[in-house]
Formats: sequence, C-alpha cells, structure tokens
Amino acid sequence: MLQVEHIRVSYQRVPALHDISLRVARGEIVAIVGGNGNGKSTTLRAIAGLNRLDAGRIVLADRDVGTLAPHDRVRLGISMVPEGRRLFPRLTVARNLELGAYTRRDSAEVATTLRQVFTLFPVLEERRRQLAGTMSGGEQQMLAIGRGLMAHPQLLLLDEPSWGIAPKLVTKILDTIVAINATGVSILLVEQNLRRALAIADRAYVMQTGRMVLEGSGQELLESELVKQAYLGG
Amino acid sequence: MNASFDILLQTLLSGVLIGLIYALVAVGLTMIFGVMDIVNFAHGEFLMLGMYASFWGFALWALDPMFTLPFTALMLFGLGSAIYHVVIRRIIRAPMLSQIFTTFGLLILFRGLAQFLWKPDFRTIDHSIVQGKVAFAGLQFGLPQLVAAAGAIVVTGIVWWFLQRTRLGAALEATAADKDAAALMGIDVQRMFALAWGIGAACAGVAGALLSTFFPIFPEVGANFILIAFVTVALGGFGSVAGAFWAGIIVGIVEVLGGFLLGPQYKLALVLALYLIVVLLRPQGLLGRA
Ligand SMILES: Nc1ncnc2c1ncn2[C@@H]1O[C@H](COP(=O)(O)OP(=O)(O)O)[C@@H](O)[C@H]1O
Ligand SMILES: [Mg+2]
Repeated sequence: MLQVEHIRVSYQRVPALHDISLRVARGEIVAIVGGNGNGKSTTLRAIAGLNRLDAGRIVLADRDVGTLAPHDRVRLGISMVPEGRRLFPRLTVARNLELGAYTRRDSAEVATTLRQVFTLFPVLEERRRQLAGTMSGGEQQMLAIGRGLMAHPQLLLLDEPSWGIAPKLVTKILDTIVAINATGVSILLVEQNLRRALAIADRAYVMQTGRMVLEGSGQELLESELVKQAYLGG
Repeated sequence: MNASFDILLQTLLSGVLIGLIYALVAVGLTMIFGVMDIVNFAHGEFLMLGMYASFWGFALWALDPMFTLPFTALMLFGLGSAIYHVVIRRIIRAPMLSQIFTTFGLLILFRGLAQFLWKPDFRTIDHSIVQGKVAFAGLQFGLPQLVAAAGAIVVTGIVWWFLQRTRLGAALEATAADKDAAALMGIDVQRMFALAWGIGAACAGVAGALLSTFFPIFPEVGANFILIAFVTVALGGFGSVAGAFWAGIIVGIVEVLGGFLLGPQYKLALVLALYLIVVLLRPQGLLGRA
C-alpha cells in the first residue's frame, strides 16, 4: 500500500530525517514510536506532502506521490490527522466534517461516511452545531479523527491521537482505531503511549534522531531489550 | 427642523456613503491579508486600474462605467490572480521585508505604467448615466455617490455570501485559518491564494469603477485610498471581512464629519488619530481575533 524509500527531509537546511524507509501493507496497523523530537511527525508530514523531500521516494499503490501537493495525495487516499488536531476551532463540528470531505463530489457517499463517523463517535452528532474549539480535548480528538475519515482514505496517518486527552478516553480512541482498521483502512500511527501503541500494532518502527533504529512486530518490540531500557523503564 | 441639524445629518450620511467605498476597498485588502498574511501595498493601484478601465470604456466606446463594471471586476480578478501566480507565489516564504518590497514594487510599476501609457493628467467621466442630485427630507445627495455606495454594499454582500455559503468560500476561510490543516482537507492552497488575490483586486477595481463617475482619475489616485484602507483594515481587525465593512463606514464618518467640524485640513489627521486609538485600546481591531 505505502512504501517510503530512503527519504530525507530538512527544516531550513537542518536535516530532520536522515534516511527513512518504512512500509505499510494493505490492512495493516503500523506504529512509529520514539521520544520527542526524533522525527515522527516530520515523517508523517512528509508522507502527507506538507514537507518537501530532499531525497527518496514515497510510493502509494505503485504510484510515486513524493512530489505531489498535499491535496492531490488526499485524492489518492492519504488522509492525516495531524499532531495537535488542527481543527478549525471557530467553525462548527458539522463544518469541520464537511471540510474533511472537500475532495469528494458524490454527496450521497459523503452522507454515508458521515453516518459511519457518527456511529463511531455519537458525541459528534450531538454536538454538530457546536463550535469545534469549545469541546473537550477528547471530543476534539474524535472530531479530528472523524474529519480525517470524511475523506474516505485508504491510508490514515494519525499523529499522537492520545495527546492531551483523559486516560480513560485513550482506551476508547485506540479501540476506535482498531475498529477503523477493521473496515479496511490501513493505519500509520505515531504514538508516545508506547505500550498501548505496540499492543494494537501489527508492526512497529522505533525512531531515533531522524533514523529508524528498530523494526518488528508489536510483540517483538515490547520484548526487545532496547525498547525496554529506553522507553519502558527497564 | 433645525438647519444646522440638517447640515450635520447631511454630513454624517455623506460620510457613510464614502465610507461604504472605503469598506469595499478594505474588504479586498483584508481578504488578501487574512488568507496569506501579505500586505498588498499595490492595492490602491488595483483601484486606479479599475478607474481607468471605466474611463477607457467610456472614452473609447462610450460605454457607461455602470455597464462596464462587471467586466472591470472580471479583468481585475484576472489581473489579481495572475499577479499571484507570476509574482507573489515566489515570495510566500520570503522574509516580511521582501514581501513589502515586492508589493511596493508593484505599486511603483503600475503607477509608472499608468503615467507612461495614459499621461499624468486628471481625467473625468462627465456624462455617465448616473449624474445629478437626489433630494429627500430636506437632504441632498449626488446620485453617483448614492449609486456607488449601493454598489459597494451589493459587492461586499456578494463576497460575504460567497465566504459563508459556498464550498469554495469555506475552503478560502479554512485556508485563512490554518494553511496546513486546509491542505490536509484536500484544499489546493495555492489556488486559494490566487482566488484571494483575484477577489481582493476585483473589490478594489469595482470600488474604482464606482468612484469613476465622480472622482478624478489619475495615475496616483490610489494613494488617496491606500492609507485609509490600512486604517480601515486595522480598525476592523486584520483579516475580518465583516470588520472591514463596519470599519469603513466608521472611517468615512470620522473623516467627513470631523473634516466638517474641525476643517478639511484635519480629515486625514483624524483618521490617523482613530488608527492610533485603535492600536492603543484594541490592537486586534473591532472584530479581529485577539
Ligand atoms: N517547523 C519546524 N521548524 C524547524 N524545525 C522543526 C520544525 N518541526 C520540527 N522540527 C525539528 O525536526 C526534528 C523532528 O521533529 P518532529 O518530527 O516534530 O519530532 P517528533 O514528532 O518525533 O517529536 C526536531 O529536531 C525538531 O526540532
Ligand atoms: Mg511529533
């Protein structure tokens, strides 16, 4: 489904990603874990097209999308729920969801997706006239994910969906991600909540200072010495 | 009714009439700023070009400015988006100083071109279909001013409707709010920038066409409006279309009424004083985001 091959990305000539390769097979949940500032968000941003590549390729279903503008990648099936959610806080929940479906023309299909999103997150239907910025952190995250789904993606990129929300909601969000995956959407998940991310991931990558240092199944990484020492407190 | 009250009311309403034109000019300027954080110093030149479009339509083919107005709007829309694609696109990520120099360069370019092509003379359109005066309730207004004000309301209303009610308008607002998030929605951000420049230039061009029936037309005419437009945009709140509309009316009233009460030489000083008060008391403007 997605193949990232040796990409390099920099911010004002300061390299942030050195030589990143990863792949997501159709139907997989793949996690990227690692401490702050290691390039996880930049990796997702590069896949979505928000950051230019200095080198390397991004292949989506046999097509090189690495030079396409972000909006073209949305059309091809990549949707991203960005770090910090980036909702339109002064627009209503309904308007945010509508914007999520911006690339889609068939209003009947969009209505179907909207019903699916409301089934996944009933609170969004109750709050659809409320301004996005006035909701709780957990509700905002649900809206961000719902908005991401409105594009009807093949591949959903999720950047720290458990950031800034109440612990009991984290479980709900992660369960929902599994449910979304079960409908056939491939998922690339960046999480700081390492134990839980590895628990739901089919495979995972560990990132350090702009490089992939480890790759394996979720279970393998949970048991790996490096991960135990560095992230799970021995 | 008391005669001096009549004069006061007349002056106040004259301020509202010119204020509506200021509002339209400022709506265009605030749109460009709101969507891409670039201050367009050449905005007055779009107005000037709108005036000349009216003038030449009238002088060459005897077409009334009111008739050519839709074409003027389209022409300026095309020019605005072309300028975005040819020039502005290259400086989006440039330092603010480069952006200022660039749009200031456009100002000089268009003024120079107008002087070169059309001579620095004052021109007027003398026999438009809108001329003469209208009297009611003891007050008297020029028909050109009334028509211009009505036109400004209509065009501002169309822009407002477009932003609030259409898919493209929503995309433009989303781009103004958060470019990366808009791009992730599948919105072509570059296209939105071009659209903002097109609409911004068209607003100024239409204002110029509306003015052309009663205001002299000359290459530097934009200078009369750009400073006021900046004050209006600041007063309304940078990027706020509704704010620019109300602020335009307020600026018009302050200018005309203040000029009447204190003497016309203080007109601009009063507008600038208003600007200082806004900056000190409410830097985000009337309807701006804090
Ligand atoms: N907008 C930016 N401008 C400059 N440097 C940035 C920017 N965003 C991220 N970086 C740098 O890129 C590196 C990777 O950051 P990021 O991808 O956000 O890491 P993570 O998501 O793993 O915390 C860090 O060194 C960070 O300081
Ligand atoms: Mg991050």
